[in-house]
Formats: sequence, C-alpha cells, structure tokens
Amino acid sequence: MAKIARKYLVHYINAAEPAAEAAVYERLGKDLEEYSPELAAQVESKKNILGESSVLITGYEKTAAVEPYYAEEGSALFQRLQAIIDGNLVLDDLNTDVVDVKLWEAAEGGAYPAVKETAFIEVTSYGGDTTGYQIPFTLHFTGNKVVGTFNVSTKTFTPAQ
Amino acid sequence: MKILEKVQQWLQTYPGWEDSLTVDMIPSGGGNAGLFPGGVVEHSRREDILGNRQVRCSLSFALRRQAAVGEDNRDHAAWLLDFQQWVGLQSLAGLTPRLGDVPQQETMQAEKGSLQRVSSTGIGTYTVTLTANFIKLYEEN
Repeated sequence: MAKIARKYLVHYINAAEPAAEAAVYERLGKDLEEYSPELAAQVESKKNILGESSVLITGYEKTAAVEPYYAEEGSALFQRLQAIIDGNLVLDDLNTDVVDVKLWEAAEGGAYPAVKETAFIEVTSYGGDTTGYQIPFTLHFTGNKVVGTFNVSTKTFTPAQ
Repeated sequence: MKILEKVQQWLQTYPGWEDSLTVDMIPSGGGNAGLFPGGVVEHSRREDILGNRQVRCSLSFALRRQAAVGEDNRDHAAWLLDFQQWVGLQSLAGLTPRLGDVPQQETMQAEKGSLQRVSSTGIGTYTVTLTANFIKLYEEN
C-alpha cells in the first residue's frame, strides 16, 4: 500500500468576511512546510475497584497554527488578516470556515470528498523578518462540521445530501 | 540569458575593467582575465505542503587576472581590493545578475583576492573567488 503524499490533503480557508454572501476560498500551504491541526482531545480516565480502566473521550478543542504565512498582494486572505490587525477585530468578525479536501479519493464532476468546519482566526503577530511581510495566525475550530464535496476548479463546497 | 553570460556581462560593467574575459582559460600574456566556473552546490532543500520545493544553492567562480609584475605591485593589489569592494556594493544595491527565483535573498561576494603565482616571464596571476548565493523554486502544478 502506497503512502499518501502530503499534497493530497488540501486545506482551503474562507477569506470572505462573515457577512459576505459567498465564500472566497484560498488554498493554504504556500511556504508552509507543516500544517497539523492539533485535536487536543478531552480525555477522562477512570479505574474501578476491579482494576479495570475506562477511557472516555468527550470532545476536542482543535487548533491549527499557520506559520509562516507570507502576505501577498491581491490575496483575499491577506486582506482579511490585515483588516483584523487594522481594526483589532474580535468576536464574530473573526469567524471563518476551513475545508479539508481529500484529493486522493475519486472525484465526481471535479468535486472531491471534503469536510467543512467553522473556525475563528487568531492573528498571532505581524511583520516578521526580512524574508517578507508575515502574518502568522492560529485557527480555533468550533467542532461544527459539514460533510460534502469541494470542487477545486470552482472552489465551491457542496454539502452532502 | 544563461548564467555564465549574465555573469560575464555584469563583470564587464566594472569601471576598472580593461581586460578581455574568457572562460576556463586565460590567453597568454598580461592584461587578460579568465572566468573559471566552480559549479553549483546545493545547500538545502525544503518542500511545502503543496509540493512546491525551494533549493538554496551557491555557485562559485575563480576570476583569474594576469598582469606583468615587478618590484612594486601596489596597483594590482589595489585593483583586487577595489574590485572586491565593488562586488560587495553591487550585491547590497541589488545590481548583481539574477541567478535564482527570489531576488531579495540573492547575494554575491568576491573573496580571497591574492597573487597566486608568477611565471618565469614575470606575468603574475591574481585570483579572486566570486560566490553567488541564490534560491531556485520549483512549483508543483
């Protein structure tokens, strides 16, 4: 069985403002050598008087760091991040969604299996070194997921029926 | 334009340049110079999650200049030092030839300029090492 290359798990972030009618998805990953959402599962372990252990995993507090992120002119995601910095935006103004697309699966009409999850953007810092203007950020996921498909040509997500 | 042509053309913009410049040889006699490529060295390779690759390289050349030497060769030594300084300033100003895909991270240095040998006919060979550091990008489709 062959390993799945990293480039086949693709991540799109919605760069449109929360009030926008349509999502504007941009692919995450340029200059990003690693993107690994941490699930941070909530684990409860108990041991009974018989010495038996039981484990309960009751939820997740998933976060993902995007670092480095290099600002690019014309990028909707850059504009969104810059607006957060300029306006000290908080609460629902930081709302977004991220779609994980599985390119190793078979596509139907150009659409691949995908899962969309809402998240909040936390801009960690801005500026960086002389390699370019950087705005690293962290995504805090809410756990609200929708299964569907994602068309990589039209960059649209369609929920499953 | 190929890398060698770019470097040759750029070298000949040095204000103190009066010599002909050949590659991998120096025509006999004083007043000539030869550019001897030392090859590309790959220092590191990085890949992002999209499959794009970035390779950091350096390319070195030996620049060998011949001149008649006598008892006092201050002019030749001064030429070397002035040339090294010119290369450094050209690099800082971003005026050296573009060899890679990330111009803002390219550097060029001229180092270790010295008189290497003197022939029996009194022709000295001065050598300085030129090193270009650059990044090549390979984008995944």
